[in-house]
Amino acid sequence: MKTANITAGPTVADRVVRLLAGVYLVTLLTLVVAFKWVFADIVLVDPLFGVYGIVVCAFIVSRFALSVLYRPSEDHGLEPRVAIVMPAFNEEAAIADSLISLLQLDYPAEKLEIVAVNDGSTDATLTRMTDVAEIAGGRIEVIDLGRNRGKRAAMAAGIRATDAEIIAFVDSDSVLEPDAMTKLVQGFHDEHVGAICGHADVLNVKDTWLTKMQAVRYFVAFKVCKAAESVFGAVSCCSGCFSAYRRTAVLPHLSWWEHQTFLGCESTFGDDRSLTNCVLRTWKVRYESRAISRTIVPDSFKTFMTQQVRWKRSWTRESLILSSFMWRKHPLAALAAYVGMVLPLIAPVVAVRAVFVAPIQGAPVPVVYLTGIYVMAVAYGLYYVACQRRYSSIWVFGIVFCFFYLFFLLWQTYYAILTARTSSWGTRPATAGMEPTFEVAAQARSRAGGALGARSPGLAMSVDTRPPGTGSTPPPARPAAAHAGIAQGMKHS
Amino acid sequence: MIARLRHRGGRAGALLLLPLSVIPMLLVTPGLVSSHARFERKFHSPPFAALEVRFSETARARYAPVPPFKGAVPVLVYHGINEQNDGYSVSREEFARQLEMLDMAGYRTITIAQYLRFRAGDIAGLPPRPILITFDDGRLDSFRGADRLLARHSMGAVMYVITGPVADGNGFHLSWEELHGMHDSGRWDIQPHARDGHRKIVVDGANRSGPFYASRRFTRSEGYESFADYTRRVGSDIYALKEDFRRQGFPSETFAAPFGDVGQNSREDRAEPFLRSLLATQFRVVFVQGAGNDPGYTTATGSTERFELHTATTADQLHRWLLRHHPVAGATGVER
Repeated sequence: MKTANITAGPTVADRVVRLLAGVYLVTLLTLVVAFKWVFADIVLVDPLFGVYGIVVCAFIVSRFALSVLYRPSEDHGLEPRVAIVMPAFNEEAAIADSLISLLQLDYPAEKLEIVAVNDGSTDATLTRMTDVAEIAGGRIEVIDLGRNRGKRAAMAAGIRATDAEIIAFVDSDSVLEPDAMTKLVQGFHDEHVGAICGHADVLNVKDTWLTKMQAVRYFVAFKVCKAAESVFGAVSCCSGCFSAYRRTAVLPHLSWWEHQTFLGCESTFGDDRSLTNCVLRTWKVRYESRAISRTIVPDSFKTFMTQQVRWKRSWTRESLILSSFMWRKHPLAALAAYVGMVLPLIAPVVAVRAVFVAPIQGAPVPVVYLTGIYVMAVAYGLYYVACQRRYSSIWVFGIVFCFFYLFFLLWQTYYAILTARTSSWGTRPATAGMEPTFEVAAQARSRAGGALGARSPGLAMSVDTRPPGTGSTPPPARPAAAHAGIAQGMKHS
Repeated sequence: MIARLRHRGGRAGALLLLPLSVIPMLLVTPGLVSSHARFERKFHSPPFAALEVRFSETARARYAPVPPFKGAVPVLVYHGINEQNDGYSVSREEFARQLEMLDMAGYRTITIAQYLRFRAGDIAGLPPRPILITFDDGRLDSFRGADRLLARHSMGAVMYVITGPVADGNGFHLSWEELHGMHDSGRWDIQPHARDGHRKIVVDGANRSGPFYASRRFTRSEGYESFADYTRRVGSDIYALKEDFRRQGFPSETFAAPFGDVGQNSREDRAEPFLRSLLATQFRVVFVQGAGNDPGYTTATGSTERFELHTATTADQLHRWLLRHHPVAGATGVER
């Protein structure tokens, strides 16, 4: 895995390029708004295409504009007791690094619990956990569920295993910056804040063109979309990569969340978006840009596509829930949320009409439509350039992503909606997470302080029924794609 | 050293991606600009609101209704309604004054169908003071400037269309869609003016030019076209013009000769008989303009010469022309 070089400092050239990219970006967005203004009457001529274009433009530009207003939390010297819950399923390659990164956090050890939950892995995940726990001097608690019970069960087990005031979740394929936790919890100074989403960058940026593409996508999705939502304290999805919840905000919903069903089927994925919904109903949910995690993203087309369908399914399910209470939030936040729900439903229709139907009917090549996508793609790329300390040509993959989205991801929406009821992760057996839930108390736990490794009474009776080869890393349920067109592509949940 | 150069070269190349990203946008910019022009042309080209006209008491007295008349119809021709002051176009304000004057003097416009019946000797149904207003060239500015004013006075007009440029969708000529809309409004008759023949061609070695329909073409390589080639060229254009109208479902019964020339000024003696003969077989009425621009009212059997309105023509001048040629000698206006 090739990781990004984040240590080199910026040169004068880098600073100049950042400035130019910023000017270029602002100019581009201004031109887009001017273009829409000049052609505003199109809504009278072509209501669907016209209104869609204006709404998408307004939505995206408003995200950029609001993100400018976003401010990370001030340092209040807050150091609440935090428990980091890290569920893992067949993560032998990454789990050790992830746990070690937690140990290296610049946070008072006596106030930081680390709860590693092995969700019935069939590889050496549990061994890796216990190995790290052994050298951690009692700072890591390992819970072994014995058999695969699903991510929610693993997370719930972790939550129930601690009484910390703040419960943080870190995906087992994510690593944290040393100061990430300190930065993340500062937002809880506001007693109305129930959850805070940390920032996630891509760890394996340089692996493939797919990971480069996702690097730009993640960056914009967090720095722009989540930041914009955070202005109103209405972040719609606290990414599973790295987020923290106030214990009192989560506990009332824990059982419901763990056993959530949708159309009669147990909801196994989309845990992060679902838990955010539980909290967002009555609390503020913010984003903390200074709390940085780095996560591994899919590097193959198939895995990526599967992940995207799964995200869209959970988006479908959770959007229905979100819509039931979002109207009570700030009007602008509510408007953006509802628009974000509707646009993806229209986007494929508009794309088909612009790219296929209209030319057949004699209209010219959809220059305006494709140019719109290109311009927004460049805008995302420029934002990436303007915010990076050192210039990197990876921003070009933001453009690649937008067209990738048009050709591949846009069409998943309807399929995802139609199959939203499924419990399958796509990368793990359909039964995963659907097994009867045992009382967590019945699970063996071991404090790795003295005991080595995990003890699990259930281990002996645990029978792995998965076929060989299905034990690849189940991508942590991150926010499903949400926004139409380009916006959808860049929105992270 | 080489590695460093390669590194710098790679970095410079990566930096180039930023300016290069502008190129696709620059490439589509002309298309977007023309798209905007087409958009404005299509959706932001409605008729202008009718201007208010206030005459002095003296003028109002002067424009009192003229005596009714029969057996004659004055025909006016406009070329454009705009503020360009180009010699041929009439300003919106002046056009408003002229229509107001015509209304006060009692003139009522007739349709091309009424005019054709009049030419056939049937004057039943004509108003007491009929007049035919025509516009040449199928221009957008004429429609935009005149339509609301015509509507205010419950008047109508005839638009003579050059069909060649109509298909271009340019910003100067009316589109077929607009022409159909005008026709459907009941205020406008749509009639043929030319297809590609509304232009001048080189007619001699000194590069002098003459009207397309009325002149034999001269080229340096082949000299003068033969008369047979001339008749084929002109005939083809007239037939194509008729066909354009047939396809659009518009009747093409009258014709306004481009530049008012049906060969009367041509160097080719055979042009006028040929052209008049050709047009007579294709159209029931062919309008022209004459030298001196002082025709009388048209009659059932006489000349079909139109009075041409220019930029400098005022409502007063039009009024004087109308009175000068009024069938009732010494007409100066009577009570309604």
